[in-house]
Amino acid sequence: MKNAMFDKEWFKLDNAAKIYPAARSSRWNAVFRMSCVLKEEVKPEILQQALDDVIDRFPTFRMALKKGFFWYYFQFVDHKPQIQKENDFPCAMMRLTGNDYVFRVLYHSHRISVEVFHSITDGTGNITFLKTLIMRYCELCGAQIENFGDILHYDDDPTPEEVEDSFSRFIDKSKGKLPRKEPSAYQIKGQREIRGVLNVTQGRMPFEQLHGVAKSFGCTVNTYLTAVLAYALLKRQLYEKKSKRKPVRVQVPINLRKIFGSETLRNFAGYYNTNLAPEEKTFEEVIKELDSQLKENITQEYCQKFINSNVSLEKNPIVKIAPRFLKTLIMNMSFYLVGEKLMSCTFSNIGNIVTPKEMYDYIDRFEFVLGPQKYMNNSMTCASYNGVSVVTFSRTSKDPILERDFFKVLTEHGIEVSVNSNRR
Amino acid sequence: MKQCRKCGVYVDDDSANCPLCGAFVHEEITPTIYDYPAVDITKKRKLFWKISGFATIFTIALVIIINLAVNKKVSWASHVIFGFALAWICVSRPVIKRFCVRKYLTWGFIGVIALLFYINIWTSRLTNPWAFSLGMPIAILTWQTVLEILALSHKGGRGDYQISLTKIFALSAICIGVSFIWKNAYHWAWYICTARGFLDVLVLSFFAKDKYFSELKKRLHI
Repeated sequence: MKNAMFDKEWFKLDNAAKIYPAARSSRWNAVFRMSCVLKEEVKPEILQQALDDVIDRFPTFRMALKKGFFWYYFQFVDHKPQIQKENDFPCAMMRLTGNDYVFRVLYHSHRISVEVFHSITDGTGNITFLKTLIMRYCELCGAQIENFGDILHYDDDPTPEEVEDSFSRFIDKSKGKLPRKEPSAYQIKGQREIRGVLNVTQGRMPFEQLHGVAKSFGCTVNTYLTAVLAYALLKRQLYEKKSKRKPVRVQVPINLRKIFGSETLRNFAGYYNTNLAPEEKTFEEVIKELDSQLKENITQEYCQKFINSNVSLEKNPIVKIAPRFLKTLIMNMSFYLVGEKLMSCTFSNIGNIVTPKEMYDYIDRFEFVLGPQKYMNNSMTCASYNGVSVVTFSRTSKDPILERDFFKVLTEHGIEVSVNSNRR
Repeated sequence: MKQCRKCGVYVDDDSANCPLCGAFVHEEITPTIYDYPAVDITKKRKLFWKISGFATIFTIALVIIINLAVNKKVSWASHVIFGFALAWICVSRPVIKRFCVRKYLTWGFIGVIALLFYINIWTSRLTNPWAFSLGMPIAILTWQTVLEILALSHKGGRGDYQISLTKIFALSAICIGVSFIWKNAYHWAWYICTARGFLDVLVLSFFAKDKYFSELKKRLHI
């Protein structure tokens, strides 16, 4: 059966999506989660009904990953997805064989989570899907929503712009590429948990307090949190007293949709690695340095070069005609050699999530959890909703070193943080 | 919620200790509504595969050591290594990776060809190449029959039909190559395989449904 909306049975993977199936292993694949915590317990039958209604609105989600001779591709799936009761760690390994969906909708107590394999979409695409799902859920629960705002309604038709490969659309070879060489970064090491275990630590804080503190330092909330993270990493490295010190580099994803005016629901994000030399610095110096780095470097020109660098490699004729297993081998090796070694930690901020005011009665907060990284131990996210910011740390090592240092800085700045974890 | 004296953060009511430093904060635990499901981590341990992997490597190493100690060279141990390698590639791997039926059959066919080739080398050092003159053509003819059945049964829809057809075509092309390389008395068997393969392609193409190349276009897109 075809997808009636687009007459398309299959999709090519976009540029950013191609690395994830290649880099996956029997122990790891790139999965991340967006969750919505409701004020009342989740009703599974209503959630299933909402998912059935919503899924056709998102043709790029109704896909299974398949192997071609040269590249992987997405194949339209006939059967409807089923919701699942959460009984594993967040972002658990996803089966990507046969006709299995490459996303799952989970529920537990008051929480509805959408976990996706990174190839189908990025954070913005996932939160768009989750918001539409939750809005439909609220409607089925009896909410009368008049103004949808920027949320896609399940009854509308998907547009071609939503399924386009924006990387291919916005490539402009005349603008040049990024320099390839980047130094490797400091990473917190520690005893790793056994396979499949992900420790999630969440800190909830009032957005107003966070915003106020950031403002007092003369920067945005995003820059402030990046600086606190970098500062915690810097302090930890200096504390460890290693003979060879490495720069602290926090990877910050960039939503390219806003810069290039794209509406795609597939992957369209770049990233920038901030760089902090491993020297004694005060927090004010760190925040000043990172603020100038983020302001000066994240420009349209940088993003254009980022797209050019990535897409030109994919369009290389030799790369194109190489069989898939050879590409997988090379991509896997390059992921090991340079992929995660260039950054100390990832910090992804989805920003302030806005919903129609009628939904405030149903929703408590949103959460964003990055899955385990392949070689790196820590990652951090932030999502804000209705005056509450939730900072989430995902960790595959045993000790919460980074979290402790991070939240200590926040409490020192006078922010009231309440912490919980999935490990008791 | 109570405050952790060490870290300064507030700790949820369902937790007795601070998640950051482990310090004791609550005297009485009252479960809250937002916690995560409790997961038993022991189910994550897949000891079976670790033990079987070690057992295999240990057996191979032991066989090589005994062979070296007795004969001063690796002689009969090569059969054991080949047997283990073949069993792993053609049997264990498809089972572990949960291959579909079509892939099981494909790897079975590859295993039979490799086994024939190895036994022929071992028994007669190719002075009497019975595996080439008779064994492999028979295996190929059997495999062609399997592919025909798969194609005609339309198992899995149009995709399988086209893939089976492509495989028959590729097999015929290989047979032509082999026929040209070995111009000995036994090449007629390979000609039969080639002729049957092309005949299959010709006849089966006649039954192909609309959008004949759509599946191949999808699987071979660059």
